[in-house]
Amino acid sequence: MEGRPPVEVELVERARNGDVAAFEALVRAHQDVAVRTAWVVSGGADDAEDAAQEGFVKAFGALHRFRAGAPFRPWLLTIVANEARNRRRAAGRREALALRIPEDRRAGGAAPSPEAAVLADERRAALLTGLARLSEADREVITLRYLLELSEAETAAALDVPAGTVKSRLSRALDRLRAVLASLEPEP
Amino acid sequence: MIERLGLTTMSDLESALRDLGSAVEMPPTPELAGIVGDRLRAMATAGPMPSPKAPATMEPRRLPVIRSVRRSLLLAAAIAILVVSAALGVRFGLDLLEIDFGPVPSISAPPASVASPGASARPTPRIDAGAMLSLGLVSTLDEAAADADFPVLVPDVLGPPDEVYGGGPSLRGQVAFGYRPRADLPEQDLLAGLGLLITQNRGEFDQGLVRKLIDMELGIVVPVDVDGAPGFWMAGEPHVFWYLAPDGTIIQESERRAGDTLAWERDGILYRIEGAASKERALEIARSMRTP
Repeated sequence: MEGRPPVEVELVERARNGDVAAFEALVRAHQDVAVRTAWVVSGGADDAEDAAQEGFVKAFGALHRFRAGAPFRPWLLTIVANEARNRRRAAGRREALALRIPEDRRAGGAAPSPEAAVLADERRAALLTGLARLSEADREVITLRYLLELSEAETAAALDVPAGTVKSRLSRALDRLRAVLASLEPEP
Repeated sequence: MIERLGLTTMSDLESALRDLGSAVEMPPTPELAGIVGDRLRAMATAGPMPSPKAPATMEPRRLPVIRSVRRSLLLAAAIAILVVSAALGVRFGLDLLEIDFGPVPSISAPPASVASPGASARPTPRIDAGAMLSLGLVSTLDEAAADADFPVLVPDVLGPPDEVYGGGPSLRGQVAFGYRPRADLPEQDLLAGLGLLITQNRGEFDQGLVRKLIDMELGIVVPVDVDGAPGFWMAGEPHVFWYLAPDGTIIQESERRAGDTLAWERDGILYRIEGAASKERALEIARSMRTP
C-alpha cells in the first residue's frame, strides 16, 4: 500500500481541527526523516533539529493548506526543507555536508568474510570520497534519494522541484559520481 | 576501480549508496513530538485554541475571474517580475503575489471532543500570533527600534502595538507590530487572531513590474499614494509575497498568506498593513505613521 495507513489520515484530520495530541503523533512518526532531511538541506547538524522543530510548528499552522488524502510526508518535508534552506541561506553557510562513517559501523562482522568486509569498507570510503568531489546539488539529490532513502516524490518535495527534475538531476549526478569513482586510484 | 569495488552497473551503485546510508553518521533525533506539542501549548495565551481548519462560514470573497486562468496569469507575472527584478539588481523588490486558492486558515476553538487530554480544565489558550505567522522573536518597541537599521514608525491613530516582533537574519531585519482585536479592529482569521498587522523592513517596489499586474485587470492591485510615497492596495484573494534576496535567490516570505494589504515604500523601507477594514482605513493608518 502506497503512503501511510489510514490512521495517519485520521491524525491529520484531527490535527486540522486543532488536536495537538494528534499532531504530536504525526511528529513522532516523521521526526527522524524530518531531522535528517533538514540536516542534508541545511548542511549541518546544528540547524537540523531547529529547522525540523520549526518546520513542524509551521506545518501545524499550515494544515489548512494540506490537501486531505494526499501523502503527508512529502508535504511536511517541503516545509521542513524550506525552513532548513532559509537557515542555511541566512547563515551564509557554504561548506559541504560532512559525511562520515563512525568506527563502530564499519562493515566488520556484517560481511560474510574478512575479505568481503575489507572490500565493503573500501567501497564505502570510495563513495564518500566520490560524493565529496561532487557539486553540492549532485551530492544533495543523491544523499536524499539513496542515503536517506526518500522516495522520488519526497526528494522532489525536499528540493522543491518537480519529480521529473529529480529523475534527470539524479541521473546526471550518478553519472558524474561514476566518473569520479572511475578516476580514483586504488588504495595501496 | 569501479569493477573491483563491485560497482559495475547503475544498480550496483544505487545499492552501494543505500548501504552507505545505513553506515554514515546522521544527527540524532531528539524527541521532537513533545517539544513541538509543548511549544504549541506553551505559546498559547488567553483566547481560543488555534485550529488550522477553516470553518465553512469563513469562505473568502471570490473575484469573478476564472481561477485557473488567473492562477496562470499570476504565476506568469510573478515569474516575469522576478526575472526582471533580478536584472535590475534591486535589493529585494516586492515581487508580488501568487495566489493560493486553498481555504482561509482559521484560528478558532476546536470542538471539545477533539481537545487534547488535560486541556479541558485550562482556560482555552490561543497560539502566539508571532509564531503562527513566522514573524520572528518577541520583542519590545524599544528593542526593535534599537535593533533596526531604519527608523521604526508607529501609527498615531492606533497607538503603540500590543505585540512587537523583531526578525532574525532570515527575516532580513523585519519589524512586526501586532494589534489585538478591539472594537475598531475585528479579529482576522489570516492573522492568527490578531486584529491588524504592520510590518516594516528594507525593500523596494519595482513600480513598472507591479503595474504589469494592474494591467492584467485582475482587480486586486490598486496604486495608491501615501503622502507622496508610492504604494499599492492589494485586496481580494489571500496572497503570498515573494522577494528577491540580495544574493539573487527567490524567497517566499513564509508559509502564511496575507489578506487585504496596503503596501508602500518610502526611502527604501517597505511598509505593509494587513487586516485593515478598508483601503481608506488602511491609508488613514499609514498616513499616521510616525517615529515614536
